[in-house]
Amino acid sequence: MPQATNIHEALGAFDRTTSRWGRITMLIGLAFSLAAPAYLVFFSGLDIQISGILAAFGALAAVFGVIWIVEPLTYFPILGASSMYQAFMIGNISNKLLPAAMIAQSTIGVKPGTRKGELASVAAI
Amino acid sequence: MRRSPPKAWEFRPAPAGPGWNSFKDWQLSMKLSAAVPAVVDNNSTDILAVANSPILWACAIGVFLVIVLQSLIYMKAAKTAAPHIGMSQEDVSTSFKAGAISALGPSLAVVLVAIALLTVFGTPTVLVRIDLIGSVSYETAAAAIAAKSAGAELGGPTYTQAVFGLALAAMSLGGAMWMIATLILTPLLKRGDSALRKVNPAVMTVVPGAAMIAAFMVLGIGELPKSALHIVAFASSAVIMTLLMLLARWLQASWIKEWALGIAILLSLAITYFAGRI
Repeated sequence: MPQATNIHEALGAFDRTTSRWGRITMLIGLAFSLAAPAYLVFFSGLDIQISGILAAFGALAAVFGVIWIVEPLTYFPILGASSMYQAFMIGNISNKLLPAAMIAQSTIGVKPGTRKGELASVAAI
Repeated sequence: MRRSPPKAWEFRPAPAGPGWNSFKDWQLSMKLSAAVPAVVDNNSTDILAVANSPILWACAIGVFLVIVLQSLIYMKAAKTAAPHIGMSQEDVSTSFKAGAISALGPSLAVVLVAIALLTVFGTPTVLVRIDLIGSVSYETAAAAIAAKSAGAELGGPTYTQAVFGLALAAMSLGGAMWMIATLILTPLLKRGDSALRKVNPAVMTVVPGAAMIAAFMVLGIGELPKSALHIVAFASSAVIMTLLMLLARWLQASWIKEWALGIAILLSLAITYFAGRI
């Protein structure tokens, strides 16, 4: 069926674009977010010990370590692969992005978990 | 501790006054601050001297631009794909608008917290960590935990420039873990997701709805034991949201759905405020 191949190709192109550029932009965002503390630690002349950072990071991991893994697992079925890169770069997922995505889906009458739902949440986020 | 320590990275002209009238004095003071910049900076509680540095601003602008770039690429991809799966351009635009309007209420809440934290973290850090890529509930807790691990407290006399640097490093690394987990897990989950869709497509329409209800119930119920006012806020916003959704269906007015979240947040805030005064 030519119609089916058309849908298949269009969605394939969408998946390729969003996963490639989602990853690239997320990596750049990650680099910028780490550049700020890296500057303070290594170049500002402040005396910040690496061991102190590791201790602080350890304390954070004890509290948030499980959430780092569980949140991406929980939100994946809701967001779909493409929006994962948006949501986890932008943050404020549960209090802002998920409600926005849900309301967009409900406004145009599509269901979460479908491809239409995925496009609606991409636009809303 | 000195009141106004010279910063190693900042060029300051010599202030006029006794003892500062010769170039030699100024040179000497520059030499001193260059020789012991670490001691002077580390113990200063003048956080903003470091927190508002141009380099932190440059990083904040970089983060902002990369989010804009991502949004443009994603929006274009969604608009290109939409007609092929029976979705009109109008549907995409409506989703975009609904997302923007729905974000108003939550954004207002985020901005209020952000303003309160401006003097603690400085503008560029608040922009990045609270508004742009962090989340309002995680970052402050993370910074407090990091400061505590160094025996200090946010905003207090122990909150020196060095502690600020440590807190920023820790919360940025912690925030980075979400991104790293996402970068690793998403391709793996996608493979499982496509396999599951082929086996049983119905499951993939039920799972997201169930996951969403579960996620919000866990978040909401976690707040309930904190105080009676938390219960008032939870219950009133739930009732208002339900009423607005029913109203939208009854009047067939989809604009009510778009504004529902903002209205529910504001009304339940007001109700909780008055309940607190009774």
